[in-house]
Amino acid sequence: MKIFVNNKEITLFRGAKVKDAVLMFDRKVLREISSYEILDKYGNQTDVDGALQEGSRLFIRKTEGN
Amino acid sequence: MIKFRFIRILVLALFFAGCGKDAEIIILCTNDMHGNIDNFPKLSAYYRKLKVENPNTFLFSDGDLFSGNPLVDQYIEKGYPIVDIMNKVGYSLSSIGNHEFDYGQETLNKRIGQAEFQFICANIKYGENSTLKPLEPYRVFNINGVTMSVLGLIEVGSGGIPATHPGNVTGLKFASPAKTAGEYLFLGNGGIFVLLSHTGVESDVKIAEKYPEIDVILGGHSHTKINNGMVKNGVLITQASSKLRYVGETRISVKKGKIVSKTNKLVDLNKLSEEDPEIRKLIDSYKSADKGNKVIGRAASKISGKKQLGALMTDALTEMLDLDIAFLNPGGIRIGVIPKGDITMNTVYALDPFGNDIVKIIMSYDELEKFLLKNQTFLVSGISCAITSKEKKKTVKITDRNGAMLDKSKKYAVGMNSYIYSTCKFAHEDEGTAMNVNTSDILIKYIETMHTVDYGNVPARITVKK
Repeated sequence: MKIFVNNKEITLFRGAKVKDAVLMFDRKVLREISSYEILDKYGNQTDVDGALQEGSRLFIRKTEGN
Repeated sequence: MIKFRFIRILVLALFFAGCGKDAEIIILCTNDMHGNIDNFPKLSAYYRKLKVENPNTFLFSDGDLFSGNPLVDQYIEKGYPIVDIMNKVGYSLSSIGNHEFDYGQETLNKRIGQAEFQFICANIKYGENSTLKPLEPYRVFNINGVTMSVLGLIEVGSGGIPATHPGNVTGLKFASPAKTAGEYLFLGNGGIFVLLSHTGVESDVKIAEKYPEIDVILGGHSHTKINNGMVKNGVLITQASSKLRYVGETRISVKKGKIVSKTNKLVDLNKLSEEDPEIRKLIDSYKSADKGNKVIGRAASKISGKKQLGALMTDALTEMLDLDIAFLNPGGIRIGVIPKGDITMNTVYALDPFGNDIVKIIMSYDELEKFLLKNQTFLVSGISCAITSKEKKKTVKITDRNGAMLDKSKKYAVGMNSYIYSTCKFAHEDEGTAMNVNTSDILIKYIETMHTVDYGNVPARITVKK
């Protein structure tokens, strides 16, 4: 399935979770996850174990103070 | 049809009976707890406090109670502890999440039977081969003469089933959540219409945009932290992250039979100090009885080093998941040795603390060959591979378990952990599908099934000659 991370298209397996998308986008982010926040297209924070759907949009942002 | 007409009349009758009535309703809702029980004492104290202030306070769960904590998942009666605790905390309702199926339908029946709260789901269709006892699609509460109807929905993935292993939902069919919601709009005629939706926030928004008849969607599945609820098309959409870190608090105010306000906030359970001592005592008793040291099988000889441990771990995948071939990365092996003798559950969690999900990909021979050339240190089951490197030219000989050359025209069901999938770039026409099982749970099942495993003398399965 195709999803978008920071507007970059990523192809993932069906049933992938947020962490799989983040790992594929930039594995450093998952290693330092406490320094980042992951938002959905509505601006809500999303947990790394959250489910994704075809066309989901995620935005990774470094949190303030890091 | 007659049944539906009767229900409609009943709901309308309740509605007219409720006209002109006032009510202040509080719904506390947790979602995607995944076996996390530590904050239940705080939730219980908070719920009881609100209930004293306002008797019209309810506690709901929006599914995925299970899968995520060995204390709950590996209990002798899988899932028993969390349902027991939820009974004592005072839940009245739960939707069914995709992970409720992880232990199989028979066990789910037992957990539903154990629950003193009700499970609801409207979009499950029960076939002849299913063993799940049919659930009510919704529940109607009468609060000071005001009706509140709550409809349960479960997500449906691209394969037409929720995200669990397909074997767990044999005989069941799942209707589209949005379409199903549309079939129950009559519930909106009778006072308050609440959706207990384990379908993810994006699906919730689509449902809200289609059906303004719904008043509130209590959401789950996407583990989204919606701070003060989102309003779409007049529908209040809520979700409280996951793992019992927060509880969503929705307040609905009804005057003369009409909703005059609906609000939501998240309560950070970690920041609460008051605890229910009885629930704390109950959790402590489950923790002290934790069977992490339970013996699950035996090693016939010492299993030492990545080659032997990797063979054990990858064989677990091919044997238990009906895969032709399985790969794991050596970095995923976190202990050096399993000594000869008893193997405990804790040993497996130490060996594989990541418990990554397993992805199945249908691969051609060519794709497999290229994958092996790029990942020569990986651990494998189902095949042996000899790579010969001569003056920049590499040749690959892949043989099956019996030593026969692999058929180059065939496609193979290949399993790998989600870490490999996401971090290794490799060509594959099939996008792959999550098997909705994780590596450590499969290894536990494999060792339990085999009783004795012998990996003390396995040959290297990928060899490289220069």
